[in-house]
Formats: sequence, C-alpha cells, structure tokens
Amino acid sequence: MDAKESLIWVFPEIILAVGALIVLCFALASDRAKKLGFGVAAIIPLAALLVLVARFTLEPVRDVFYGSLMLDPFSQVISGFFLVVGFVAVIASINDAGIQKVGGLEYAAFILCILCGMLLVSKASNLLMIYLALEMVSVPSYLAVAFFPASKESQEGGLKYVLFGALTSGILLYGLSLLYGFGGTLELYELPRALASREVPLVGFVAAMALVMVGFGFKITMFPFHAWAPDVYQGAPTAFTAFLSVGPKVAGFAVFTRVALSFFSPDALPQFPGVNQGFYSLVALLSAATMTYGNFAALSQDNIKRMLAYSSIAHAGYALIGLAIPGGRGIGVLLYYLFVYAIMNMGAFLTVAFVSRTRKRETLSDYDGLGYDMPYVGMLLTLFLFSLTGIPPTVGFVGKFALFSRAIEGGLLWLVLIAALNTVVSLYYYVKVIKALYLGGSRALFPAESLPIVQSCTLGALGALTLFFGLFWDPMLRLGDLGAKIVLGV
Amino acid sequence: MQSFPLLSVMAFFPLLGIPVILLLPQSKASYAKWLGLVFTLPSLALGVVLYGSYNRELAGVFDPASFQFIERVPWIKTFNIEYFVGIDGLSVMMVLLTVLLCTLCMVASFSIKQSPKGYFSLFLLLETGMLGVFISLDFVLFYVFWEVMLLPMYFLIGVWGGPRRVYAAIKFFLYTLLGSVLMLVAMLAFYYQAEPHTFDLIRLIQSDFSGVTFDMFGRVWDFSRVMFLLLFIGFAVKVPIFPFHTWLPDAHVEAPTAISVILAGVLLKMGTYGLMRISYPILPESAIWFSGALAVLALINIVYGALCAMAQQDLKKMVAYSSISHMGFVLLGMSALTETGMNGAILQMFNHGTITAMLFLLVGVVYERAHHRNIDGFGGLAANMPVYAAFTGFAWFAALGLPSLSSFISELMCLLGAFNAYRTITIISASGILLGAAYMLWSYQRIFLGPLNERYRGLADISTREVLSLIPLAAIVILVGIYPMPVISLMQASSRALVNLTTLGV
Repeated sequence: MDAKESLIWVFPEIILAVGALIVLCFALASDRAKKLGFGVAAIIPLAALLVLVARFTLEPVRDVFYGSLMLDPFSQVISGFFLVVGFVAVIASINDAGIQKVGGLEYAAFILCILCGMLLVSKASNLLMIYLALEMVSVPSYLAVAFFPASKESQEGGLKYVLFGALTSGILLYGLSLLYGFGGTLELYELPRALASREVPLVGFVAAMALVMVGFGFKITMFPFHAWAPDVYQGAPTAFTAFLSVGPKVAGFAVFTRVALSFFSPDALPQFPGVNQGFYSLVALLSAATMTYGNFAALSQDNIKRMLAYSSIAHAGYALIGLAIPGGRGIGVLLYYLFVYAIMNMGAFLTVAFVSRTRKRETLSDYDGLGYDMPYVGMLLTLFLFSLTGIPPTVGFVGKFALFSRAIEGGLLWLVLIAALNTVVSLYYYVKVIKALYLGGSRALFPAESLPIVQSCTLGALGALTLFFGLFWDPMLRLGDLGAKIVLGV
Repeated sequence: MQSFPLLSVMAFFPLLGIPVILLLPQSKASYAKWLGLVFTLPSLALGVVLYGSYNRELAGVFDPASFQFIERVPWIKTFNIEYFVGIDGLSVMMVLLTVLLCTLCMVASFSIKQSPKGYFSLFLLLETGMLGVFISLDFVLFYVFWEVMLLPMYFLIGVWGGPRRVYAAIKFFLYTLLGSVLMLVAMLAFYYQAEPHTFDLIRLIQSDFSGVTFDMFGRVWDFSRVMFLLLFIGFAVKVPIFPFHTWLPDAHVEAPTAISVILAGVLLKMGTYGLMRISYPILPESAIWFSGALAVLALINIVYGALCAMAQQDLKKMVAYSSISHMGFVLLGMSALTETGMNGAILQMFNHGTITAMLFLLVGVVYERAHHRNIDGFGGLAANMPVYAAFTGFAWFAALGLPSLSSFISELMCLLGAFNAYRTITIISASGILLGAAYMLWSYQRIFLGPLNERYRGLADISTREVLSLIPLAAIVILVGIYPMPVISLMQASSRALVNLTTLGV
C-alpha cells in the first residue's frame, strides 16, 4: 500500500500529531484562550478514539506504509485503550496546580505526542518502525518527567530516565540491527522465514533476542531492568506518573508481545527446536522474579509514590504471566490484566496526586486520619488499593482470576502458586496505607480540602469502573479476547 | 414459597441498610444502632420461616434436586459462573446460627460510641458476607463472599478494637488471605480439570478427580492430594487448626465484644463448613487418606487449646483458646467419617456458636465495667453481681459440657463417632473435657468466689439489655441439651449422605 492509500489508516495518529501542534499554539495565547486549549486537548484523544472505533476492522490491514504498520484487532484494541488512558491523563492535569504553574498546555501537548507514539508502537511491524515509535514515546516522556524545573527530585528522575532510556534503547537498536543483519529484512513477519532460509547460528539469534528483550524489559519494568522506575516515578509530576506507569508500560508490553509471538509461535523457527520452550520458561522465571522483587521491595517503602512504583513493578510481573503461557494463549488475559491494572493504578496514583498536592508531602504518615478528613478520597484510595491487592468484588480480583486460570490451563501451576503467595505479601504494604487512612492515631493536622469537580468525577468514574467490572466480568474479558487476535506471519 | 427468593433476600437485605445509615446526618449518628437492628431483624424473621419450612427428609450434598430454596441465575458467561444458592442440612444450621448471632450482636453493640455509622454499616456488610458463604453453591460465588467478609472484619477489629488492634487486624487479614489464595488456586485447578469446565460445586462433586496426576518441578504429583492440601490450608486457617491458629488469640482479644462473638460464633465454622461442603465431597478419596492426620490435628487442637486456656491470665484470651479446643471436637467428629461423628460435628459447630457467644458477651459485660480482664484481678464478684454470676456460671457449665446442656450432647456424639475409628486418640481427646472443666471452674472460682475485692464493690450488675442478648442463647442451650432431636433431624439426612458419599462413593 503506498503512502497516499495508507494515510486513511493512520487517521487517529494524524489527529493526535496535528492536535499536539494546535495545543502548543494555544499555549502562546491569552489566558482565556488557554482554557479553550484544555478543552481542545481533552477532545483530541476522544476524536481519535471515535475515528478508530468507526474504522474498526476485524480483517487485518497488513501493509500500511509499505508494510511498516499492521492493523489487526490486537493493535486496534490496544490503540483504543491508549486513547482512553490519554484522555484521563489530560483531564487529570487540568486541575493539577503544580503542572498548571509551569505550563499546562505544553504538558498536554507532551501527552498527545506520547499517545501518537504509543499508537504507532502498537501497530509497528517493522524493526525500524518499532525503534522509531518507541523513541517517539520516550523523548516526550523524558521531558515530562523533568517537568518541574524547581524540583530536585523531578530533575534527578528526568536525568536518570534519560540515561537509562538512552542506554537501553541503544541496546535495543543493537539487537534489532543484529536481527536485520542475520535475516536481511526489516519486516517483522518475514524475519523468522528469512532466518530459517539462511544459516544463522543459534548463539547469534539468542544474543540478538536477548538484547531486544533488554530494551523491552526496560519499558515494562521487568526485573532486572526495573531499577529506574522508583526514582523516576517518585520524581515525576504525580499525574504524569499515573500515565507513565500505564501508557508507555503497556506500549512496551504490546510490542514485546508482537515480537515475541512472531519469533516464538509453535512453528516459527523449526531450525532451533529448543528455543521456543526456552523462551517461555525464561519469561515465566522473569515474571516470578519481577513480582517477587517488586513486592518485597515495596514492603519497606515509606514514600507512597515509591511504594506504588514498586507495586507497579510487581504488577508487571503478574502481567508477564500472560506472556509466559506458551503459544500465545495468554494474550487475551494479558490484555485484560493490563486494562484492569490501568484502571486501578491510575486511580491510585491520581488519588495520591491530589493528596500530595494538598499536603505537600507524600510519606505514609502524611496520610494519617485522611479517611476521616476527606471521606470521599479515603474511600476511593481504599477501593483502589484493595483492587490492586486483588480482593473481590473489585476488578483487580477478576484480573488475577483470569490470569491465574489461563496460566493453570497452560500448565503453569507453580507460577500461579508463587503469584498467589505474592498477593499475600502485597496485602501487607497496601494495608499499611489503609491503616494510615483509618487506623492512624493522629488526625486532622491538615485542613480538609474538597476535590475539584473534574478530579472528583475522574476518580469517581475510575472507582465506579473498579466496582462495575468487578461484578460484571464479561464485557472487558470479551474485549481482551478480541484484542488477542494478533496477526503473525504473512 | 419457592418463587420467593428467600435466601437472597435474607442475605442481601442487610446491605440495604448501609446507604440508609451512611446518609444519616452526623447529629443523628446515634440512630445508626437502631437502623442496624432494623435491617437485621428481617433476616432473622426469614430465618424462622426457613426453620419452619425446611424439609428434613431431603439430603442435598451432591444431589441438585434435593437442595432447598434454590436460586440460579447465570452471572459470568465467559467462565460459566452462576449465581447459584441453596441450602441443605450442612448449611441450614449455620444460616440459622448466623442470623441469630448477628441480631443478638447488634443489640450487644449498642454501647459503641466511636463512629457508630461506620461500625453498623460494616457490621451489615459482614452479615451479608457470612450468609453468602453459607448459601453459595457455586465455588466462585463462595469465594467472593468469603473474601468480601474479610474487609469489614479488618476494619471492625482495626478501628474499634483494643490496644493492640492494628497488629491483630493485619495478622488476621494476612493469615486469612494466605488461606484464601491457596483456595483460589485449587478452585481454578478444579475448573480446568472438570469436564465440562465448571465452578458449580455439585457438578464438581460428580466429577471424579481420583488418579489424576500432573507435572510440576520435574515431579509427578497426585492432583487430588495436592488440591486437598491447598484447600485444607485455606480452611485450617479459618478453623483454626494447629499450627495455623496464632492469629486467633490476638484477633479475638483485640476485637470489640460483638465482633469477638461473630468471629468465634460464625467465622470459625466457615473453616469446618468448607471442609464438609467442598473438600470432603469433591475429594472423598483424599479425605479418607487424610482422615488419620486430621484426627491427630484434632487431638492437638483439643488438648493444646485447653492447656493454653488454662495458662491464661486474660479472661478473653482464655475463652479464645477454649474455642480452639472446642473446634477440635468438630474436627474429631468429622475425621471419623461416621454418621454419628458427622452429626456431632455439625451440632458441635452450632453449639459452640451459641455457647461461645455467651462467653464472649459475658466477658464483655465485666470488661465494660472494670476495664480490665485479668482473671486474678477480681475476686468475690458473686456477692456484688449475683445475676451476672448466675449467667456466667450457666455459660461456664455449658462450655465445660455439663450433661443436659447442649455441648454435652455434641461432644459426646463426636467422641462416640470417632471411638471405633481412632480409639487411642479419642480416649486422649476425652481428657479435653476434663481440662475444660478445670480451667473453666478455676477461673470462675478466682473471679466470683472468695472475699469481694473492695475495688469492685460499686460495680453495677448486668443490665436488662445485656440479659436480653443472653436469654435466647441460654434457652437454645437448654432446649438442645434436653431434647436435641428437632435440631439433629435438620442435618441427619445430609450428614448421612455426606458420609456415604465419602466412604462408599454413593
């Protein structure tokens, strides 16, 4: 498909890119026009979502831009998910006084740029495109993390993110170029066949895949490439942390899934018989290590943002279970778990964002008695934390239920046992927050502040979804299964 | 009558009270207790209806046609999960016990002063959770209720409890969650092992899991044994069975009085109920294989619990350990796999629920007045509080198994049922009754007899409200003690079916 025909398939991306520029123009205008700019920034992801849904196609569109993008149900469902997450992220920044002081519209434009990158990541089916799309997510993210020039943590987090990010994207690029060198093509779906037709040494292939996995592992905070996350999550503006812990991370999962499945589906690489099994075992081990490390490291955290950062590492570990189920049978529940994780994790981080704005600090003791001073916020945070633990009737339970069940079906009982025990460990630190909210000794040190209306609606909606999908499982499970239709090979 | 969703109304009516209570203006917060009671009473009334219209001939257990008050609605299609409730002889006693104790505990909670709106809302949520566990016939539904119950319990202990409440609440929560996640794993494994895949407990019972094996860590494991063990840990934490019991003394001691009653009276039974409803019928072969070990654990519970109770200085802690001992009899009765033993076990669950409720309520009475529970810190209270002393004496005698009171019958049935199967264990276990008498009488003597401790001359005797919450329990203890047939006939058919299913496979 040539460029002119292809344009129609990337209409959502075009809306986002043009939208980002328009929003930036508003940033130069008067204060009244700025208000309008926020309205525009919030509408853009919705408009893109509308186009995406209207043009949704079950029939895969393979060769957008000469085969560098692939539209299959997998990429379209994930794109839709990204747009919803992006919408929430823009909305959440509107009432964020800290972000507004420095420049709210620039921030919104960053979000739109990152969104555009994430949409491309979910569709990329060409090694070069994968790399470029990931960079398009990364660069604005670096800027957004370091968004508070006056804050030392923000600057430190931004610098760490840039350094780690640059190093790992270099490693990723090295791996991708090795693959290109071995296979002689950049097309993801032709690579396995190309590798089979040439005499590629096993060591070379494994080394290339390992380098690629480092790059993806960084994005999804997989152990042992997670070390940047706590500092970055803590330093970044909390509203952006909420987005970062969900958006770019899921983008990493999307591309990891697509690459992994194209090389490790049952008959992709007949010349390397053991490699398939080895890959899934490795992912299972990394999954166990990631969740265990994340949970145990979170136990001793006193800063709630840091604690949630480690918790989101642990959740990446749970989600990896979906990828560890051999033959791609876990993709549906992986997607489902990522949706679930997005709802509850954004809810938790956005609640924390509000509290740390009113209380200026974010250690656990600052939450003492919060449940009595601000009942609505306290109740929501409790709900999100119980959901992160995985206690019914919240959506977090359904996520674990779906993941565990598919993993048991796939013969990974040992991994499920480890994950189940991890749940118990995680309860300890989540409940530490709830304890501070309701069981803490001191209280009423801070004046109660009511939530701004937009914020209160956003959080309320996330809370309602947490309960609604916890009671009615079917719609989202079906969406996950729809997204599991991923196109492999030509 | 069948068209009226009795069980659902009974279980979910208390939930309706929560928004009503939360909408009370802060100035009227003291009305929360009345609302709490108002929203509990209908469930009790339905309990009476249930007792009257329950058909004692039908067995239930594994036969879907003979369950009663069945309601069945598809819930989650993706996993074929249903909202499926119904009761049989295993659960009917527990449902009745729950609605009874919840009502009495509402009355006993009237003295709660600290944020009553929160307390009574959580209590109502707790009641729904407990009833839900006993009526569920779908494993996922069972699990959801089982977990939902934890949340209010955590807050009720953690916010309204004693000095070490925060520690006790988290310990309770962690232990129970550990048990439940293992149960979750077993539940999912059953689902995929059963053909067709199902969470329906009755269909799981009809599936045969014996002889199934699977690979893990490079070894071949017997499916049914591993699953039995996972479920067993889940239920053992709740009972609690040694060595999973250490949360119990902390939680029971720190919880407010009414919540201790609920903990000991209802929550502990869920462990043994789970073994009867799920482990035994689904995995009969493993249940038989495991029964010897269960008998030994029962013995440890009985003797160790009694010895610990004897060593306590804190009156509430003594009662808490006595629960461990008395729950040991339930396990002993079950482990024998005889009809007498099973009847005894279910009856003991019910009797322990009523008697231990009295014990905790009575401990709460003296604690509210003296603000301590040190057994040696009293002395001669009988002179000052004669009515209280009389009630306590009655409850203490009931707990130690005085003939003509209810627990005598059930403990005797448990021992009789187990005697042929495990002679030595049963004989040693019988010493638990002796030890029970020892610590009960010894503590009674130290508190009520001897010269009056002058510090407590001014203590008021038990109030009318407190008496009201005790009288129904006392009446039940006497009635069941003298004429147990109406109660035993409720469960007889089911326990026979359960024993036959487990031992003979029919």
